Amino acid sequence: MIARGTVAMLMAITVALPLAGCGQKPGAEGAGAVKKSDAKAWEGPATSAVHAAEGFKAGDKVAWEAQIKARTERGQNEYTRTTSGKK
Amino acid sequence: MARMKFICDAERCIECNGCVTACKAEHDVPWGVNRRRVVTLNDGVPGERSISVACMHCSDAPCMAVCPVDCFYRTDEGVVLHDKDVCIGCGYCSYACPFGAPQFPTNGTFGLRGKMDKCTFCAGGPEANGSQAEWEKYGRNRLAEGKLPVCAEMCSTKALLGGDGDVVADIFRTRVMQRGKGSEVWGWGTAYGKPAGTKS
Repeated sequence: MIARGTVAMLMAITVALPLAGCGQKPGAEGAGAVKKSDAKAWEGPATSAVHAAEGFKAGDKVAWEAQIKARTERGQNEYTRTTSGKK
Repeated sequence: MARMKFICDAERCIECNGCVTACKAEHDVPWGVNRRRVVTLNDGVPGERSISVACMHCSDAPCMAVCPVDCFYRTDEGVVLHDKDVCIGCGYCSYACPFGAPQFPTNGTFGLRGKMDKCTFCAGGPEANGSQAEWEKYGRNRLAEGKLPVCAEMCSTKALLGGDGDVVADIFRTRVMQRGKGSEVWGWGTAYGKPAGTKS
């Protein structure tokens, strides 16, 4: 009886093990996924420019570079700001 | 072409953690993930210094070198970004990074390690600029809006500078030349003038 019970249990495990894989969710992402190409920053937002900086024209590379440079200098260099304020 | 860089002025950082808070709020960063942190050196000792640390967008990024699935890429502006759809959350990048920039969300039942998250220089990710998908995965894309990273733009003492590396370097150089050294920086000399009898 013990031998038959053991055999039955082994058979159940043998059947259950391969089926256990069926419950696993498919890996939609991760390994094997292809890296996407990114849009350029100066191309601006794809949808709307609600939050875009004032005076910034999306799609114009030169304007974008000028905007970033001006923002870096004007917003972060207080020596320039104080000097220009005295004039 | 601009080459984006951060620099933190340790003489100015007052450890207010405003940059950390601004970053978390701007990108809706989940609990347990800090894209930016303020590190204090010699805490409690006279002369202690604090610096704000995040991804430094290295020119030769070690995270890119070790990533087994090659999920990293560098934009034309020198910003190091990654594709979360390719990332497998292995953590190699966090071991390789000397700044501890890569972060992993641990909000699962057993603290499981999710896909890597890090500072994007407010440049989003490979999804369409300003799209909902980009927002959900990487946060806001301020660079595409003609703005600089929020941490640098809102820093109250302007300790944290961010933007075109050449411009940022010029700002820092001017500052160092103007303020001098030692107690001239922020100490007694700056507040009350130099003691009588000292040579300028």
